Amino acid sequence: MKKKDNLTPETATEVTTAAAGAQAPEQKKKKKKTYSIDEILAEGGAKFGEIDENGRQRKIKVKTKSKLKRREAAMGYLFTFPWIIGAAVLLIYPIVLSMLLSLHDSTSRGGLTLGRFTGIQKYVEILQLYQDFPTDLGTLIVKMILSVPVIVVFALLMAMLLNLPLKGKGIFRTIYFLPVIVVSGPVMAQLTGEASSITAVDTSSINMILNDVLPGFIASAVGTVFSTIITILWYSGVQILIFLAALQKIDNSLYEAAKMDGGSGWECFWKITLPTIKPMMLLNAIYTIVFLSQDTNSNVIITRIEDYRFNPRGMFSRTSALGWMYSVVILLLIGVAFLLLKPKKDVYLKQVRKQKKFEKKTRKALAKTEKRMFKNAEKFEKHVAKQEAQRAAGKKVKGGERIDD
Amino acid sequence: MTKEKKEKVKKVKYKAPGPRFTKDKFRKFMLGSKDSMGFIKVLLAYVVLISIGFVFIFPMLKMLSTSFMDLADLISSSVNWIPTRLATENYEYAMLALDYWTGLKDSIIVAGVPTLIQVAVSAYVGYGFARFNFRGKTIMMGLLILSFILPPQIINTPTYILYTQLNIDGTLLGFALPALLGQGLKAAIFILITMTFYKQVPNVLIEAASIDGAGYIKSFFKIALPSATGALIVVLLFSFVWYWNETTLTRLYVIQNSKDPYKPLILGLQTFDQSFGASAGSSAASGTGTADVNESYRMAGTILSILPLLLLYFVMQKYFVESIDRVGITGE
Repeated sequence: MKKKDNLTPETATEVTTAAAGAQAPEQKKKKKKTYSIDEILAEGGAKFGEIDENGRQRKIKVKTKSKLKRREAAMGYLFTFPWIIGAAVLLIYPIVLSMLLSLHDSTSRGGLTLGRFTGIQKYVEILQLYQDFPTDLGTLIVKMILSVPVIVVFALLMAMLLNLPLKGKGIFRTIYFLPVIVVSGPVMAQLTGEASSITAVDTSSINMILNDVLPGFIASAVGTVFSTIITILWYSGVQILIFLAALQKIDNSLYEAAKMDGGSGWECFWKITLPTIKPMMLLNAIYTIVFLSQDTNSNVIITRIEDYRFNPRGMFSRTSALGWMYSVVILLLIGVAFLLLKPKKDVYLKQVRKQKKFEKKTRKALAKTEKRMFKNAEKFEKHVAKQEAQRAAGKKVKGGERIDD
Repeated sequence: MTKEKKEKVKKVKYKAPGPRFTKDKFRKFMLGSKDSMGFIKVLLAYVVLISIGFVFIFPMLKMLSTSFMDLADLISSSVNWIPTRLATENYEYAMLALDYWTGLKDSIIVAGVPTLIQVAVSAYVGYGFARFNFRGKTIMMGLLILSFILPPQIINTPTYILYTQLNIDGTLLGFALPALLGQGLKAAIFILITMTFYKQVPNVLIEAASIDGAGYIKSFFKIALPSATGALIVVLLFSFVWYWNETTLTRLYVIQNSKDPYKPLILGLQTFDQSFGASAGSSAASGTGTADVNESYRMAGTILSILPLLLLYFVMQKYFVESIDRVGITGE
């Protein structure tokens, strides 16, 4: 039985498409019983030949999707249903609720009751309570703008080095992925804490030069990047991983072909490696932004959001409002990153699409002309016939023979 | 051919072609040719790799060396890296302060249970996304990515309220339930990883199996799952590490409102200073005369709290690095 099932769909699809094509215009007029392919096949296609009481061929509707496809779709739902339930209950519902919370008073006793509708009052309240919010946000954004490129470029360089055919690269890889384990959580807080200056770098001389050259706001941000360079490097473990995986996927024959044509290593990097790896750069940039935006150790705003939840007790509205303001900014940043690094559309595909559009347009115009010509011919015939009739009746025909365009 | 002739041919063959050391050869050795890297390049690569690798490993080394110093070594300016004696009592006191064995057990439970569920679920759900086409898949992928980029702080509050209504806050269910529904800690990344791995399983294999009579479930267990072991190891390692190091959510979902709360190591580390004063401080005072928390104790505590992770990493790193080599964990 199973074997048969697996073999039939291939043949069945052809029949279906043909049948569907033939029946398509008729389907629109009336809704009739839908037949599956199996039913039609079982009757040897007799359904198509049936003639109804008006002497016309009976119109039948055929399911256009093959059984295999429908079954696969069902399996798709079966495999993803835990996630679907989870997304509904633990993703969409919380998002909507949090949006509502930010717009209402919340009384937290015994779970959740939405209070009075307050509009944007909570947002205003946040801006009054947490006056440093714009400054903190600005610092964070500048920090991201500075450190995201540093992390991405550094990760790419390291990934390329780790990808070289060197001896002992396994050991190096082990070392370079080590921060992934240490970097999250309070371990990092211990390392960067005031008491232990393990990750601090003495950058006073750099800072002095920076202060001379750059305006204060930017200088302090650049200075921060320099002084936290070790932490920044530590954050690039996952990114190195992603780049390394992507580098290994590049077909080696591309490089060989380029070398045959006399391309140097430098050219190979710009013309082969970089274009191939560009989507991963986008992925890494987004990953870095997300990671930095959710990093509980160094991010003041996140700490604030956490604070508002229980301090004062049950300020769920405030937490949500601040959270949403923050998220919008982060989403905007990710959007900017996406726009900067988004993959360019393929030139060839673009042209093909243009050509197709043009063809469609021409065909439409042609059809229109044809229709008009046909109409005119009909009109002309009618006219001639009328004239003939008039002549036959012995009347004098007025004017010449007028032909419509 | 006679024997003599043969020997002659051999001799000609093995004659050294010209002088052994030429300028060209040297150049080739140093700068490399089209198919081999030059000595200079290799040397440079090693220098860069080692020096930056040192930056990566430096804090770990520093932590290790500091954790073995006693107070005299800490203060003394002549001791920089190598302590005068191995002060193992630092570890004893840190263990006392962290309540180590209970903490370890609790940490393993709190991080391990959701991790195992997460591995299973992302292996299952990822296959659904990778292999089948169905209506609404695009929207679902969009939601999946959204759940990755949206700061979790937005979702946490309502989720917490939901849990209190369901009466599952303060139990391990607070972690296990979302993991079971594919919404665990950073679950989106894991689903994307398994998805990419499954996509690289050739479809022909699965079709061949289905012709031989394997159903969808069977081909999932017999073909897709074994070939995605690398992904599962990545998911297992990352998930465990992230759950282990998570403090805020652990406190919010699992610890808070709990009658008999778990005491994961990482939370103990956060309050290390206080608990040190309370428990280990007194015994330390009687032993060596240092009652205050110092850096050595803190570092010892830090090392102790991530020691299991390091062990796990070193056990798994072989498969881990290999799996990157073979397939890659890129999301496309």
